[in-house]
Amino acid sequence: MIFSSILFIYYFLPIILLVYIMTPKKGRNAILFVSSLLFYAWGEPKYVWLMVFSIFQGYGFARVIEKYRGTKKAKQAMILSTILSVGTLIYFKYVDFFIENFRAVTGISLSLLKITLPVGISFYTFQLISYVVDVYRGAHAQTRFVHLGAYVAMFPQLIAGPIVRYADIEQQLTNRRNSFEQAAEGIRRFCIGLAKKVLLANQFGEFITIFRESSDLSVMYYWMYILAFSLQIYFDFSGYSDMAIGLGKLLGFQFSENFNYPYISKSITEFWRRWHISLGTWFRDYVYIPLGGNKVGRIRHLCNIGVVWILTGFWHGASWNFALWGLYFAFLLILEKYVLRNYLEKHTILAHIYVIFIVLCSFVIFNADQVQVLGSDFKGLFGIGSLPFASQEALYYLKSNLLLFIGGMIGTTPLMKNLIWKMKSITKINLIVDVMEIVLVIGTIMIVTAYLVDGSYNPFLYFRF
Amino acid sequence: MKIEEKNKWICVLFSIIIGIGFFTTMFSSKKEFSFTERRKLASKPNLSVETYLDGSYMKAFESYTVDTFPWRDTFRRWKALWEREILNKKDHHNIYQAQGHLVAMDYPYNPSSVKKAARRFSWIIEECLEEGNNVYYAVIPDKNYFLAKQSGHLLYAYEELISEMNQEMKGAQYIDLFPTMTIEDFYKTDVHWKQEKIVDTAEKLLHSMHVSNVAKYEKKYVKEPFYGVYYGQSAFPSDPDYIQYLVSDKMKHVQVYDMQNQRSIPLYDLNKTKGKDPYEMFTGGSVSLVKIENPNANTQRKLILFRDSFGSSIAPLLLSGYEEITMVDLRYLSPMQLKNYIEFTDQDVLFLYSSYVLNHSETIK
Repeated sequence: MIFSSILFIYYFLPIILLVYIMTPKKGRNAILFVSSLLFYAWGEPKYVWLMVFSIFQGYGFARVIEKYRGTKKAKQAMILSTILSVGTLIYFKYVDFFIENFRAVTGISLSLLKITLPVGISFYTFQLISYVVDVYRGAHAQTRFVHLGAYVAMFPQLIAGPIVRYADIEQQLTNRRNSFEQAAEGIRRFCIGLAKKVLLANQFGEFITIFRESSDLSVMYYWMYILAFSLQIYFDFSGYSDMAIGLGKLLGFQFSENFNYPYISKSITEFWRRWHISLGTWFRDYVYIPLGGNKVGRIRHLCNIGVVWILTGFWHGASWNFALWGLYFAFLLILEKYVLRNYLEKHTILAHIYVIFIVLCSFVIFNADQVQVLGSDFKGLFGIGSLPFASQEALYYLKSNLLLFIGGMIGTTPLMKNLIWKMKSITKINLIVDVMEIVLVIGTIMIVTAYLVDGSYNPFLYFRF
Repeated sequence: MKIEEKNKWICVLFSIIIGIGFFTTMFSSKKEFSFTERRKLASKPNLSVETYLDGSYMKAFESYTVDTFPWRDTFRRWKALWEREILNKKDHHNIYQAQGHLVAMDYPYNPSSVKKAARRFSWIIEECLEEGNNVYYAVIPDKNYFLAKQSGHLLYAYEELISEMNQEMKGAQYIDLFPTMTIEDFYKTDVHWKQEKIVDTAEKLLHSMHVSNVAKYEKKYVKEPFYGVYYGQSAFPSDPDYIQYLVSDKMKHVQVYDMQNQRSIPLYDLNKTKGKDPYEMFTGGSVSLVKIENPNANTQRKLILFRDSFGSSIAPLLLSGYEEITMVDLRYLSPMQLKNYIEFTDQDVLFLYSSYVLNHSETIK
């Protein structure tokens, strides 16, 4: 089940919210856990047991760690739990990739296992690892299985993040409050996320589908494609995060932000502080720092960056293009750290152009599942070969989607947010702004419904990770 | 407005919307068929362990929730208008509105599809037809041909399509219908041409097949409004068309036989004007094999018309020159079976197809 569906908005959400509000506070985690299992079982009926097993092992090992805190047994339990979590992830996500590469290198014939990737496994596995490691590092283990289950399986963030750290919501699991203020904020965020996903990301997705099927290609068309993909992936994923944060607020939780206008960054280092923040901080805290971070020799430090970014790449999928994508960013981050930092700080306009160019190129790698596609996409972008600059089809779709592209680009900046804040600060028009806000929220849900009723294109890109 | 007040408004209105959505989806009666979209709507699936585990139940149920959502047509219209008026998109579901017409932007040109269709026709000419048969073919341009250029939409080179047909259809004479037609010959909301506007096109066909035409027609009107196929597909608001049909003295004693369902049918079935596709009123609509006998004809010539749905409405206008017309729709009848139903001798044979069907010939058997 996805948030941007009639089923979720008009069937699942009203029932769950009603039951949740009517249940006494003590029982709400149980409601949340059960509804999250139902939510997951709807889309992934075969693997719901896998998630329950994962929660169970995390719960058990964390209790062992707490019981034997400070002893070897605690460390062994932490390592065993992490191996189980990582092993499960490797088996379901990467085993066929390993087999394929083993076959290619050795020539030995091995058949693929063809395992279906359980939805959300990368997200909930990372949450469990963080929970067990945090308990090992001193946090209290959760004594109630239902509470831990509600944390790991919580439907707002279960299948596409953000990766919520246990420490961040430990208190909220037992003590959270619901208010009109928080609920209204949650509704606003949910509607913003819906609009990003349905009104922007899906439309860019449809454009990309048309581009991929076209035989009337041109350099301009390739640039429109990569711009569209960059906007699609941003609105798709940040839209999902907004919806998750909004739903979290409706249920009384405060999740950390996952995106902070990454496309306005002035360096790639800054970009990664603004893009998929929860993944970046997870790798920093659970891989980079344990490896020694930057408190080691230069060579080791460079290796640490390389390892973290290859893993970040592979986290996105079992394919070499993701590893290449990760290494591409590792190289740029090192380059910025040792060479470009001062230059970028002084030349902000050039720095913006540099970031946009680098990020657009990175998404060519990200979205090319085959080497041939990667090659042809780069050739197309830079006019290598006999492609014309513009084509009939490119011009048509540029005209037809011009406002969508402009709206999308504005949407990646805080321009609208700042404008609304400014308008709110003018007392005379305060009432108009408030009424407009209500109309926009309600208007968004109506027009999104119209798109969902009519549309067929609605996949979430980050579900495959 | 106080912040608390605003927050309450947001919460209350949001709850009302999802509440109304919930109650109406759960408790309203569900339509089984959409007349505007001309399709059967998804029905509630049956739950079983098998359908649950393979995910087909969930998929079917989600389709059901979308298809049966209350005020579906209104929401679809809102979306179409949002895209056109707010986003300034030039088409919606590949359909655009120009000069009051709803038009499918048939693009790009698909040479393999045209080749496939032409080779199918060519196979029939070589394998089924006799030396005595006179073979012709004609292509009906679609609405996009007339409107795309001036409205700034995508248009492929129709000359390439005709050229491809010419190359493949050896032994058949091409009849060029393009000069006889204008956009006014088509319904505004539908893909098809209007029968009352194609008398000159029919005359061109008859003349090219060396048949004399002496018919004079009287216009008849269908009262029911006709919302064509593009109306439902695009969801754009549009006034309906009204079907007119032509009758003549020659048609008075015509006998029409639906060979697929083995029954006599009227030349114009007015009951179908109240059905899901009023255009089906012409000569039986979508059936594989129809024979029209004209006892009042002054000739013994016979015509075999290989056609798509456009052929249904032009066939009556060809009756003045023929004693018998057999209409064959290759979308529903395999060419392999032709000889079981038709004895080819010295009939005229006309392949009359719209450019749209040729460019999407996967439906031709």
